[in-house]
Amino acid sequence: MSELKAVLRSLYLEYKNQTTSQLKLLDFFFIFSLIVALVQFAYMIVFGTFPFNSFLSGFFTAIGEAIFTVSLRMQLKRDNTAVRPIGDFIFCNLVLFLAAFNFMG
Amino acid sequence: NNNNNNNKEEILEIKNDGKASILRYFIIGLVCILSFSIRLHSITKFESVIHEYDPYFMYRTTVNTVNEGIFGGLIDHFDEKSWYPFGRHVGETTYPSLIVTASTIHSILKFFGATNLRISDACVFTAPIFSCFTVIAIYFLTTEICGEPGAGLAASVFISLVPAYISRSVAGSFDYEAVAIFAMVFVFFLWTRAVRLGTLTWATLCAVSYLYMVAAWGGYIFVLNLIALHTFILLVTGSYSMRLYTAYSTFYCIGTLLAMQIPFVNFAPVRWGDHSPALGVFIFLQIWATISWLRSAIDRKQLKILFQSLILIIIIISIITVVIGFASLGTLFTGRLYSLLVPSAKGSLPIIASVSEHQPIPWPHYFFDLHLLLFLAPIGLFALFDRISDQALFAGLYAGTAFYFASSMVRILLVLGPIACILGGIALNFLLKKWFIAVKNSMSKSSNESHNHNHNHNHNHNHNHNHNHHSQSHNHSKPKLPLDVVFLVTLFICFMLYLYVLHCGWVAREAYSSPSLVMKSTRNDGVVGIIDDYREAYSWLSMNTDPNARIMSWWDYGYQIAAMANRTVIVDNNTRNNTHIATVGYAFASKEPQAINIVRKLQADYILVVFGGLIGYSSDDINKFLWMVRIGGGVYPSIKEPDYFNSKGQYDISSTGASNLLDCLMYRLCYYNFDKITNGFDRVRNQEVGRKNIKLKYFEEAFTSQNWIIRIYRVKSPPPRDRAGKFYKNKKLKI
Repeated sequence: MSELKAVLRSLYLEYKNQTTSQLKLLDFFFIFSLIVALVQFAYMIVFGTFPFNSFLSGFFTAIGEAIFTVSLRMQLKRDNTAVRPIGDFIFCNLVLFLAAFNFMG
Repeated sequence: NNNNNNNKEEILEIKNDGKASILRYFIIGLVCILSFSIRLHSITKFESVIHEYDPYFMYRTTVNTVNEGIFGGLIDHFDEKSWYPFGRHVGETTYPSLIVTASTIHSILKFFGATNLRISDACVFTAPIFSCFTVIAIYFLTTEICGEPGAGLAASVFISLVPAYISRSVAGSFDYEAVAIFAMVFVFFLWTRAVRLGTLTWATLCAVSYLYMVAAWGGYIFVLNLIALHTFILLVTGSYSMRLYTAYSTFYCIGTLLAMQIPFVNFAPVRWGDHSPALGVFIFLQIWATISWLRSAIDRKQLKILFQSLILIIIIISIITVVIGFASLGTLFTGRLYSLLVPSAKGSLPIIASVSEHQPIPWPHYFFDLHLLLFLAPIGLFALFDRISDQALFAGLYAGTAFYFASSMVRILLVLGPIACILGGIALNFLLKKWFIAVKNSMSKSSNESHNHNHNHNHNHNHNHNHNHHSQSHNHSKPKLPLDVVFLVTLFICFMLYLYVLHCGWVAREAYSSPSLVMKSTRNDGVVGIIDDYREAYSWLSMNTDPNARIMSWWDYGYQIAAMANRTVIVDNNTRNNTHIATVGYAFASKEPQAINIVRKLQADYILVVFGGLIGYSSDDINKFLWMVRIGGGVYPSIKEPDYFNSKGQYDISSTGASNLLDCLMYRLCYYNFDKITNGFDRVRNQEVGRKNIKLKYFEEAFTSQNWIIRIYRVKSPPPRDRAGKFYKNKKLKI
């Protein structure tokens, strides 16, 4: 147990010191999207699936956001001055939200 | 891993030299013209008419869409003229891409000044136009797979001519496959590019084109599962990379969300069934990505401690997610898909087994539809081993799965066509490149060493000419390739390609260009006659019957009757309601007094039968009759197939036939008054009719077409109730 604590502490310190604030922001957004997805999922379990299409569009949007953020973070980590990945990210979000809004009903 | 990446860096760049690319685009333009024109044979042989049965429903819906808009005519449209009395909601039972595309083409051409353009012309030419797009898409897909534009050009020429694709995309074949093959190749091209480049944009574009594919054809399941299979194999063989993660996750998320917009697909992507492999691979990919990232980011010892502490929590969470996650654990696969995967299961579903396109392929058919590609495709697969990459693996998986499914159903040969062309193009490029390098080296005065090197390469050729000249021994210095060998081998290659073109042209002209609505027949003295009975009968129907009349016929003709005669039909080609079709079959297979009750219950006003006995037209209702018995017998057990065979077990329509067959409604309607012509000799069954002087009690003949192919009968309404007369008649008898 104490080993686990030591490992977690060292990981946390390493993370805090070595990642740039840009990447930290993306990580927080990633965790936030996952939490949103989890909350929606829990709501569906507790209160039922009606209306199913609204649940699906919200859930898939959250999961999609998480994936886009991961991919953007990886690309920015390799080369943090690049602008192209950000443009891709914006385009994908546009398509995702367009699809989700059409599906929500 | 680094080495792998370096190799991939080489492949990542596709050769792009300025002057050559102009030549390439010019060649592709010529190939597009070629693919467009080879599909026009049916128009030159007959006329610009829509072929077969299913396209007529598409045509009718396109007319509705052009007149009332996409929502009024297609997505929210309820069709009352079919499946009386149920009707059919068109939006929820049709894939919309083809219809939307055709009406868009019509609107665009009208906008640019073609004011007299008929909708049927726009429909007829949709397939050839999309074959041009397919040619371009195949070029891009092939260059993605192997990195050589030359292979792309070769593949594009192959796909423009290959009979497997021509069969479903001639001018006039207005069915889903006309646009679906283009959509499929385009999705595959964007997918391989997304996997190669790994950016979010390409993956999103792939998902958007996947939407078009889902809206185009039921075969989108194949596309989805092939992409999932490709991802899975890449993971399992150790080629995980960030590019793959981005590509598949984005494709799955946006693609599934978009796919559910189509009313026909509805919530199927998240229900347990044909789509579940994709979901499974998605979850597997997330887990693999997490583990892979953890392994690279965290020290090994620390990781071990972390895992050991949290393993229990991880297992519990995953079990809960999988079990509760998606509702409705229905059947794993629908009937049609199950019979595709396990071909022996087809026998249990007679309505699927009865369609001729669903039969397994006879072996010569492969050669008929693929010709030279049947030999070149395995060579192409071998050539891909020279430059193994993620995309090359995709080509191999596509080839394997398409070949397996094509063996179980003839129709799926259409899906095998594109990959055969791609592999054939790669093979041709591979062979020709090595051959021409050898030729070039033998033409110039280069050293013996390079000769040996080239000679070893030539071992891969399957040209028998070379075997005598090239042996394994490096001892004696090799002479240059003799000029006559060069000439002969090049001639041989050109001859093979020429045979391919010849074969494809012949097949397109003779085999796949008949509209099946209009037929040609040549008399003994060479005079060609046109048999246009179908349209004659439908126009009679549209002009001589009440607009609300209901026509009962076998389901094959439903779409055509609804589209051309504009009358309500009882059953049509959608085969959505098996019991309704079985009831119609029951009526046709019963004797007249029982049949009239069923016909009156179905509320039919006219009955339409197809009879080919006078001119020898063999796909008529008497030949299809046994399928009516089988399908009807599946629901009404009193109809048994052995009852309709004679004592020897043969299907016999002459006087030695079974009385069940000779007295049933179909027999009487087909052969009514037939004995007055040619003494009743049926030219299809080659027998003389068993029942002569047939008298119909409840039907009267309304119309028989010129060659007796279509016969229409009016159902006599029941006599008015005459209670008073019956009462007095009975009283009289008493007295």
